[in-house]
Amino acid sequence: MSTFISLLIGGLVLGCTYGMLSLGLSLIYQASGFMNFTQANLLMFGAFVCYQFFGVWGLPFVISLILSVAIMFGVGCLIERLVIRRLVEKHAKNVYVVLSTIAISIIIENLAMLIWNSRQHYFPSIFSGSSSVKIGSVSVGKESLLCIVVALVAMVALHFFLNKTKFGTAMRAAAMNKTAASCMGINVNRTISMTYGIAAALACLGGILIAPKMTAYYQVGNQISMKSFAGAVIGGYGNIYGAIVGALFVGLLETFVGAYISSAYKELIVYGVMIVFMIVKPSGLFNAKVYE
Amino acid sequence: MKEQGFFQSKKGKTVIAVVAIALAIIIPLMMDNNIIFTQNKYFYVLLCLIGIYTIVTSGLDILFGYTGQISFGHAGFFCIGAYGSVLLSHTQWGLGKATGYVLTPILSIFIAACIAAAVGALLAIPASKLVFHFLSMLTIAFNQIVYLIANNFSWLTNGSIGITSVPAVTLFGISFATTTSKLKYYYLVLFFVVVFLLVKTHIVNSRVGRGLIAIRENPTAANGCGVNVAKYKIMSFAISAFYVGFAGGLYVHMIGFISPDTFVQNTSVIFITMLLFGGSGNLVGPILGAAVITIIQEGLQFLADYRMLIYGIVLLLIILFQPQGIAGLGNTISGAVSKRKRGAANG
Amino acid sequence: MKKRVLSVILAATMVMGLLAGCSSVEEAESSAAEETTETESSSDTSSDSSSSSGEYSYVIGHYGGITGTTATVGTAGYNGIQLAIQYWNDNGGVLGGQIGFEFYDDGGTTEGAVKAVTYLLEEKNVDGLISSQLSGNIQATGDQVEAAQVPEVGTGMNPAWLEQGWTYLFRSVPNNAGGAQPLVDAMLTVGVTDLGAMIYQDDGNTSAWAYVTEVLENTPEITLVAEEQAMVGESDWTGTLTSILNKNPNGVLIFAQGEQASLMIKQLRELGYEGYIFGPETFSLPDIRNVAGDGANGIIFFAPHCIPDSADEANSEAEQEFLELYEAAYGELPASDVAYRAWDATNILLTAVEQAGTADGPTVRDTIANLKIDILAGSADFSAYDNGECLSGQQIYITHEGKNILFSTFCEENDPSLYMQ
Repeated sequence: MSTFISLLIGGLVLGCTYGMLSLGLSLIYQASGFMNFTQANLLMFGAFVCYQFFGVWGLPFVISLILSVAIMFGVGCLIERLVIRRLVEKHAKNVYVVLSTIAISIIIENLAMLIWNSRQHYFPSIFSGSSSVKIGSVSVGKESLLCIVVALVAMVALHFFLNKTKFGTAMRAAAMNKTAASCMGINVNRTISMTYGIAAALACLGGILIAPKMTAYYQVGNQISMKSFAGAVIGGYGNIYGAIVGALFVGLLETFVGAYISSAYKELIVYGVMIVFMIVKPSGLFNAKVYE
Repeated sequence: MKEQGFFQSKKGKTVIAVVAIALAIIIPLMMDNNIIFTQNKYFYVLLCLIGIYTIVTSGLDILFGYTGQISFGHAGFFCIGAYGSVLLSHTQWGLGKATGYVLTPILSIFIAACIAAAVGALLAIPASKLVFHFLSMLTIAFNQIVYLIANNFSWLTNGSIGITSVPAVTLFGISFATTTSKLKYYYLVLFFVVVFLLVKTHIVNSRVGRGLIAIRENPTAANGCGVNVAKYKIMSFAISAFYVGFAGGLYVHMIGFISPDTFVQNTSVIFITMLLFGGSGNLVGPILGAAVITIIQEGLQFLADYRMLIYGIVLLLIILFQPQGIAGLGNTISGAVSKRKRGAANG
Repeated sequence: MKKRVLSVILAATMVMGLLAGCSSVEEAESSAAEETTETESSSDTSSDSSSSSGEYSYVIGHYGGITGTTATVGTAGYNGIQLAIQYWNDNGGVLGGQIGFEFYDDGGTTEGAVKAVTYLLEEKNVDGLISSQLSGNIQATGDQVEAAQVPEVGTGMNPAWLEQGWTYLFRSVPNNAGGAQPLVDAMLTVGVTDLGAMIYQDDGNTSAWAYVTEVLENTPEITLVAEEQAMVGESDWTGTLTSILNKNPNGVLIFAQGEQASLMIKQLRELGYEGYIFGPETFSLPDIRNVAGDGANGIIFFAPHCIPDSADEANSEAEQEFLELYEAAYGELPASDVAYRAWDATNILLTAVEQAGTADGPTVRDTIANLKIDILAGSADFSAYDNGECLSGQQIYITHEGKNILFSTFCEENDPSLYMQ
């Protein structure tokens, strides 16, 4: 039982990290119809920005977190404003927008390597004292619990933002029908820009929460980008609730397969399940449009 | 009525192609004999790689440029072609280890490419139903699985340690070992590039090619017009996988060493980058993409650790400037010129 | 620091380029050109790579990855070679002239290595080569180096690449096969009976593990209760580590690259395991202790070199001199012991050239094959081996109270079973 609980927590932490990314992927897809390869690198970069504030300059954790999330929000908006919108205005094919996000991800990764060098950077622990707490007989990292809690809070907050605020409603309207929304006086460009910003902010939050566990390291992004993409797809690409469920599913699957079946064939099984999943239920858990 | 210049006509294009092939043969030969420039083996290595990547991107182009199916997992086919050919031709691994008999490298490459094509056809059965993102995900998962098999099945592939002393290609008693002559291997690659490009031209101009384009433009309408969409997509996947698998074989007999690291998903991203960067849906785009990306990466060597950053920036700027791939550059420029002319005429 | 400023300038250039909106190719080129001039003017230790090899009496070529997945280690090696060449040049060079340096970034890929070696041999006509630390990259280019008759000193520890019969290839460290027996001996000393193992699936670690399993088969006192694999590209091993701990081992062995090993140790400690952890030479990376914190106490590893916390704590005068030079040039101690190996490799090559009195490949090769030289890794003797090795066996270290100390010293001062659960 104790094994089960520590696995469950481990899987949830992983799932929540993937979730922060797949949420961003789905949001962007919903709002603009584009795939995006920069999310995982934004996660890495966000973790570094927070490391700079918190680890190097010694600001309090909460302030560092808010500052870095705000900065990454700005970076997300800028990417949309300077690259994506320019391409859309030039009537570039969708796939060239995807290619531009690949280029941006190469830039972000190497920029981080040059600014903070290629070593792993130890992220100071957020809590003082012992790094783990005992739940029953199970030892659980405090940072792991924080990661799960903050991720869940962020997801719920996003839900209320999209459904209960005026701006959220405008964003959903713009995502549904751009022309109609702009007829109603909604500034569609601004809502799309905001979406990219929110996605980047979520990625940053994910990066900060996972940093005590995975350190600030310029290669972190590559290791989790595919799984979070898988999470978003399994959930039904473009559905934000599906993205969360899909990401948690991937995280838990990975952890439990690793523990109970085989470590060598863990990835093989995880990707195999994804393929089977796509053959059996290609619309994802939350019925996205998959067939042409 | 659009006026057709000589170089847009079919005859003109043939002339250009023949001249290009002639130059590709003569220039390195002259270099090798120090007639123009000087002998430069490093340059031949780059030419070999450009040739191999041209086959890869052309294969990918049949799938993406003509049929409209995206793939972020073609390194998987590249891997099957490469490992397949090594295991069929190496004396200490695979077939050689099991039976003591080996195939001569060109034959092994061909069979490995056929295996890749068969796997491609199998993958296409679920893939042919999926749209963009789901297809991306499926192909990524496929790539990962192939990579993991290469890494995990140590009894077959020697796992992450890799296999050394991959035999050199020998044809009609002529050895194409890259340690002794890179120029010869370049001509071998060039021969296959020409063959594959001719086959590609033939395919896209045939009934099949028109079917594929119909699917790209509108699958529902294509279906309505009697095109068997699923069958054509499977064909397209298989042909594409054959191209890439064959290129994988040529690649591994050139490098002479194989380990799974080469076939990670990032390699697939480089393939698709080359294709999109060059421009898809035509003959020249894939060649340009393979050549320009290879040359940019080499040209930035002097930047040391700033290399990849600048590469990303150059890539991004060119996409922003020319979001149809650089093959369209000629059209953009001539468009701008004619616009200016027209403007001048009107003014 | 310079790098940081440079990167900020670069980022600003990029943003400005985008803002200006006229995203032309020329601009990219000019910004790239600007960047180069800055890079060149700011590089203090590098011997200028653009100068032709004609001015130098001996030119060393090096291929390695200073970008890509192995950038930390690659950069350490790159720095070590430059430092050694600088040192030789300051002391009069070799063969009556200065030593040149040519570098090609292979990005840590085999394709890159093939291009690199062709470039260095054919374009730059280098006289000697120092390889990357990646076994695959050495093996992919071995035939070519052999055909060109250029002596090459490698810095990787995988035994495989010296077992292919190449005669121009040498190694500047003992290979990792020699670490297996001492490591198992250390397990016996601390009293491990049930061992759990986690092996990262890359060539260095799988090959090192193969030697340990051989020794374990002849060690009836230790049972292997769990053997799990970690795949390249993973970053979370909660499941795998939990499954190892379920088998109740009283010793855990982790063979992985430094970047992964530090996280694995951290995660293992978070899961409540407090006993000994055994590892390979990558555990000597200072980052292991930075990342794993107190969790690093009680790790035992074999290594040819162990980077101390400061130059003063070096084990020998030669090491101290090297570390002081390194710190003066790069502002910090090496991030990986590959810097030691690269420094040694350069010294081996240049000493042989000096003794041979010529840059001629076959002559220098023969000289190295009979060379006896004191290097940071110990008293190297190439004549004692016939395949290019110069040393064997490894030192065993333990991390105790936040410092890496020799295991033998630790055992004298403490109860060896101190960290047993």
